[in-house]
Amino acid sequence: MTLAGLLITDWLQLLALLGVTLAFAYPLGMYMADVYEGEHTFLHPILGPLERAMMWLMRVQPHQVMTWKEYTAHFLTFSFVCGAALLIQLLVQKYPSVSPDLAINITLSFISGTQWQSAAPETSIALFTQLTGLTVQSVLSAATGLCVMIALIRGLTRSERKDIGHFWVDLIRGLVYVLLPLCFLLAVFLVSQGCVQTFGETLSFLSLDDATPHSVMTGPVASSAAIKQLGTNGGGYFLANAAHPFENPTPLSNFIQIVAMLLLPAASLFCFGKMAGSMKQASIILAVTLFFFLVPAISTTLLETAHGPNWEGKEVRFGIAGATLWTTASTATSGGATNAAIDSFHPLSSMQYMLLIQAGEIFFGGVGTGLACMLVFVLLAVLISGLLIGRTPKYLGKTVGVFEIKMASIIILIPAFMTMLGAAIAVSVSVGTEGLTAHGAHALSQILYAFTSVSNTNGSAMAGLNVNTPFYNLITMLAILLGRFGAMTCMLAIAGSMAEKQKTISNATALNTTTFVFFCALCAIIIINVMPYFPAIVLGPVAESFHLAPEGTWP
Amino acid sequence: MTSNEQKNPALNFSLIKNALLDSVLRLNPLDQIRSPILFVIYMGAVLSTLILFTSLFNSSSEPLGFMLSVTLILWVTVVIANLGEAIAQRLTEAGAAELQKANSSYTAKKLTNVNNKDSVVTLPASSLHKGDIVLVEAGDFIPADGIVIEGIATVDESAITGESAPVIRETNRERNIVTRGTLVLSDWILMEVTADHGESALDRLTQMTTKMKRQKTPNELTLEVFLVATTIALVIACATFYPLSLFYVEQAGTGEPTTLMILIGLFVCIAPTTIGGLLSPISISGMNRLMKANVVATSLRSVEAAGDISLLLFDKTGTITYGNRQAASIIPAPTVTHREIVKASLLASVADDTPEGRSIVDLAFKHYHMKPEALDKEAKIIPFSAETRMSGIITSQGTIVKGAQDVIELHVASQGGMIPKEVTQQVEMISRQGGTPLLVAENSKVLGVIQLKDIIKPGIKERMGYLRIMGIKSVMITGDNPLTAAAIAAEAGVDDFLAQASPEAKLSTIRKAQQNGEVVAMVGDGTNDAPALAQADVAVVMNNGSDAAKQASNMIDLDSSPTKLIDVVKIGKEILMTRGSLTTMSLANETSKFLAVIPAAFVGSYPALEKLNVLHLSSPENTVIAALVFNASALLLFIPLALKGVRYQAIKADALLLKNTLIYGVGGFAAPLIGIKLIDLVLVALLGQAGGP
Repeated sequence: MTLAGLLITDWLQLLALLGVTLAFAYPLGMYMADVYEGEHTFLHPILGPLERAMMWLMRVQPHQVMTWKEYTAHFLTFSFVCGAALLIQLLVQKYPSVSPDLAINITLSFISGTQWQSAAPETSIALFTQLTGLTVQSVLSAATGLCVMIALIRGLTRSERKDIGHFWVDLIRGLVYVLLPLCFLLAVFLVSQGCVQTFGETLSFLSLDDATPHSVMTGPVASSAAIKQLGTNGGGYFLANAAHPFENPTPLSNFIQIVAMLLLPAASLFCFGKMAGSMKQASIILAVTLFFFLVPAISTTLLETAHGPNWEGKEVRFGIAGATLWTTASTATSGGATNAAIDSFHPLSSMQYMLLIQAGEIFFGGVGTGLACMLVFVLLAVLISGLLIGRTPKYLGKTVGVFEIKMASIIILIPAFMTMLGAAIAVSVSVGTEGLTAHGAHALSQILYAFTSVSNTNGSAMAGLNVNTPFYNLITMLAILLGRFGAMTCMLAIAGSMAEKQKTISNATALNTTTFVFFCALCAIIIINVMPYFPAIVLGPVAESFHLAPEGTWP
Repeated sequence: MTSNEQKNPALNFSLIKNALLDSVLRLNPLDQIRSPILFVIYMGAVLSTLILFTSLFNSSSEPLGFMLSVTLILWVTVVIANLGEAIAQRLTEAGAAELQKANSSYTAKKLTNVNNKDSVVTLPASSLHKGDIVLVEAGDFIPADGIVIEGIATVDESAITGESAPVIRETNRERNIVTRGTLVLSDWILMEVTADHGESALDRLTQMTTKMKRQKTPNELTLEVFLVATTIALVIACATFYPLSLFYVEQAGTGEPTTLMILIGLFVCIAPTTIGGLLSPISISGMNRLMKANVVATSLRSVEAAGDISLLLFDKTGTITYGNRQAASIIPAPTVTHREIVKASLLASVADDTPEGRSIVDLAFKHYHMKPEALDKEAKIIPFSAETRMSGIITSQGTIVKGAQDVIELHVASQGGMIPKEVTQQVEMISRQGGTPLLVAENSKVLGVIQLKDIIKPGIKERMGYLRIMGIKSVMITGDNPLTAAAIAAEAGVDDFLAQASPEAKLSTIRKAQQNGEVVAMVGDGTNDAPALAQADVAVVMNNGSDAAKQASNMIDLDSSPTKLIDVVKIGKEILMTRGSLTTMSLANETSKFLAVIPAAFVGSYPALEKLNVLHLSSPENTVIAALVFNASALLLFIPLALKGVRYQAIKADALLLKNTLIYGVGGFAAPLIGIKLIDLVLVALLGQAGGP
C-alpha cells in the first residue's frame, strides 16, 4: 500500500522515528539543562561519587568558572593532548599498516568527531587501540561538543557575565551524567539485538558455495557502535560500518540507532529552550530542523523507489526507507555513519545528502556542534530581520554586533573554503585524480562529497575514491582541523562576547524570533548559505542525474 | 513636531551630472577598496577587460561581441554602484555649501553702548563674542546664535529648518532663540550673543556635514561584515569552479569548459551588488534627513540607537505644557453673574503684564467675548508685589483685586466681608485637580474664582499616543507635587510621571530602567539635567539648553521641539529599515538570478542542462547579458529609495516584518525572473537569434 508514492510502512517508520526521538529528547533535554546548571538529578545518588572523584582527579571545584579564552585554551589543549595519546597508540600498535600520514589523519578525525576513515579499521587497527583509543576518543569528542554548545547557550542566555562556565566541570558532567548512562543503555540494547561485544578473536567459517574457509573479525563492537551513534561520530568498528551485521544486526537495531543519532542533538534543542527560559525559541529552531529534515527524508526515499526500488548498495534487512532515513539522519547530523553505499544512491539523493552536510549539519546537527552552528544561523537571520523592522538586531534581548557576525562569518566560510578549494586542488593535480574509479560527473561528485564531508567533520564518504594516500590524508586532515577547531573557537568567542552583553526588554516593536516570518527568514538564510555550492553541484550530481535518466524520465 | 516637507537641496540635472562625473573619477583602485564588495565587482570589470584585450590577439571560445558587451555592462555597473554615494555626497555638500555661504559673509551691527540703539559699529560676525549686543534689522542675517532682548521680528529660518514659513522671534521666552545664518525679514531686534564664533549650532552642523570621512555605525559595520562574507563565499565558488569545469570536460570527453568571462558574469550577477553599492548612500542620506529635521547629532550611531528606545523621559515644563500657568476657567460665586465676574477679572488684569494676567484677558475674549474697556483716567493700578501678593485696580466704582485665597481672605475680612462656602469648595477642588485658584474680590465681596492651570500644548496627547505605538513609554519629570503631576500626566496622555524630581532621582530612575533592560532616551535642557543626560542611552538637548546639558548629550535639537524625538526615532529606524530592506531585496534577487543563470552558464559543458532553462531564455550569452543588465538597472532603480529611505510606519513588529519580507524578499525573488525574461525578449528582437551556442 502506498500513500503519495511511499509505502505506508515507510511513512510509519518516519513518523515513529520523529515521535520516538522527540519523546525521548524532551525529558533528556530538561535533564541535561539540570546537569550542566549543577542541579541535583535522579542520577546524582548513583553517579555523584564518580563525578566527585573525577573532579578531585582534575583538581577542579564545581563552582569554578572560566572566561571564553580560558575555556577555549583548555578545550584545545585537552583535544590535542588526547590526540597525542591516540597518535602514539596508533604508531606503536601491532598492525604495521598505519602510515604516519594515515595515523595523523585518524587522530584528528577521532578527536574532532569526524571519524573519516580512509582505511579499513578492522585490518589496520588493533582491537586494543579500537577500544582504548578510538572508542574513548569518540566519547571525549562528543563530550567536548556538548561543552561548546552549553557554553554558547550560557553566553546567549546570561547577561553581563565574563564567564561562560568551566570546561572541566562541563566535560566531566557531560561524560558522567549524559554520555555514560546513554552509551551503557544503548550498548546493552545492541547486544540484545545480536551485536557482538567480546574480546574474542576472529571467527572462521566455511562458506556454503565454495567450502573455503573465511574469517570474520569480532571485538567490542556494541560499545563502539553505541557512542558512534549517540556521539554522532560515525566511525564504524568495521569498514562496512552499520551495514555489517555485527554492528547493526536487525531492523530494530537500525531504527534505534537512527534515533540514537538524533537523540542528543534534539535534546540539546530542548535544553536550550529551558536555559533560555522560552520553549518557543527552541520550537522555532525545531520547526526549521524538521522542515529541512523531512524534505530530504521523504524525497530521497521517493527517488530511491521512483524507478522500482534501487537495491544497489543497500541492505535488504533494513529496506529502502531504513537506508534513506539512516543516511538522511547521518548527514543532517554530523554522524556520517552509513548502512548503505552512498555512492550507489540516486544522484539527486546523494546531492541532498551533500547539501545537508554543506548546510552545516544543523538539522538536529552534531552533538553540541549542531545546535551551536544553528544558533550562528539564527544570529544571521536576526541581523537581517532586525534591520527589516528598523531595530538594532537583537537575539534573546542581546545585541548582535560586529564581533559576533565576524565570528559567524568565519564559522560559515571555513567549510565552504575548505570544500571548494580542496576539490579544486584535488581535480587539478594528478595525485588527486589517480585514486578515482568513476568518470565524468560522478567522479566530480565523489571528490566534492569527500571534501564536503571532512570540512564539516561528517565523516561519511561516497567511497569509490581511494583517499588513503598521503595527498588526501594530509589535505583532509587540514580540512578537519580547521572545520572543527577553527569553528568551535569562533563559537566560544561568540559565547564570551554575548555573555558580557546586557539584556534589553522586548516589546511589541522588537523582533519576535518565534513567528512564522522568522521561520522563513531562518530558512532563507540557510539556503543562501549553501548557494555557493550550487555551481559545483550542478556539474556533479545534477548533470549525473540527467546522464542516468532515460529520455523524458528525469529525474 | 515640524513637518519635514522641506525644500530638498535640488536633486536636479546638474547635480546628477556632477555626481556621474564623480563616480567615473572614482574608478581608481584606491577609492574602490573602501567598499570591499564594490572592489570585488571592480576587479571583475578589470579582469574582463584584460580577457577582452588578450582575446583580441588570440582566438577565444566566446564571440567578441559578447565579451565586449559583458565588459561594457560591468563597467557601467561599477559606475552606477558609485553613483549612489556620489549623489548623496553632492546633496550633502549642496546643503552644507548653502549653510556655509550663509556663514561666511555676515557683518554684525554691534552696539557699543548697550542702552543706545544708535551706537552701532559694523564688524565681521567672526569677531563677535559671547555677551555682545547686536542690532539686526530687516534684510540682515542673524550674525550669531543668541537670544532676543528687545524688539520683535519675522525671521526666515528655512536655511536651517527647511520650513518656508517665516517665524516670529521676540523677547517672549517661548520664541526668543535666534540662530545664526537665518534672515530677518521685517522689523528689528536687539539680541545678545550666546555663543562665540565657531561654537554655534550652525558651525557644528556645517562641520558635521562637510566631514566626508564619516565613521561607519556598528549596525552598518555588522551588515557589511555579513555581506563581505557572502561575497567571499561567492568568489571562492566562482573561482574554484573553473578547475572543476576543466576536470569535468576532460573526464567526460565532450563539451566545453565554462569560460572565465561567463564566470565573471555569473559572479557579478550573484554578488550582493545592490546593497553593496547602496550601503554608503543610505547612511549619508540618513545624516541628511537628520539635518533637515534640524537636529545636530554627534554621530549617526546615536541616531540608530534611537530606533531602539523603549523609555523616554522629559521635563514637563516647555515640553508638554507652556512655561506658565494660564487661566482655564472663571467660576462665579453664588449670587454673582458670569458677566460680573468676567468683567471684574478683566479689569483686574488688563494692566497686569504677567503671563497669568495676559492669559486671563485672552480667556475673557475667547470664551466670554468680552474686551477690556478703556479705563477712566482716575483708575489706579495696583501692581503685583511680593509684599501684598495681589494685583488689581482702583476705579471710581471700587477696588478690584485678585490673588491667592489666604491673601484675599485677609483683604475682604479687613473690609468686613468673608469668603462664601461655595467658593471655598471651588478652591479646594481646583487645587485637587492640580490647578491654582485665584480669587477675585470687589471691595468686600468675593466675586468668584479664576482657575489657573498648566496648559497642555495642542497635539501632545496624539504624539504621546504615537510614541506608545512606536513602543516607547513616556515618563514626565516635574517638580510639582504628585497630585498635580498625576493630573497633568493624565491629561497629556503620558504613561508615567516622576514628581518632585531631584537630579538624583532622575539619574536613579534612568539607571534602574537600564538595569531592567530598557533603552532610555532623555530630553532635557537645564544644567541639573546633565547627569541624567549623560546616563541616558540617547540624550537630546534643546538648543536653548545649558552648555553642561549640551555636552552631556549626543543630539541637539535646534528647534527646541520636545517631541522632536519622534522624528529622530523615525530617522533612526528608517536608516536601519532601508539597509535591511535593500539587503533582503539584494539577497532574494541574487538567489533567483543564480537559478536563472546557472543552466545557461554551464550548458556548454553539459548540454542536457538546457532542461533546467525553465524561463526558456534564448541563449546562454543572452542570459548572462540579460542578468547583468537587470543587475545594473536594479542598482540604478534603487538609488532613489536609498536616498529617500524606506518609510517607517508605527505598526507592530510582526506585521512590519511580514510586510517588508513580502515586498523585498518575495518581490525581490520574483522581479529578476520577470526582468531577465523581458530583457532577453528585447535582446532577441534587437539582435535576432544571435549569439547562440
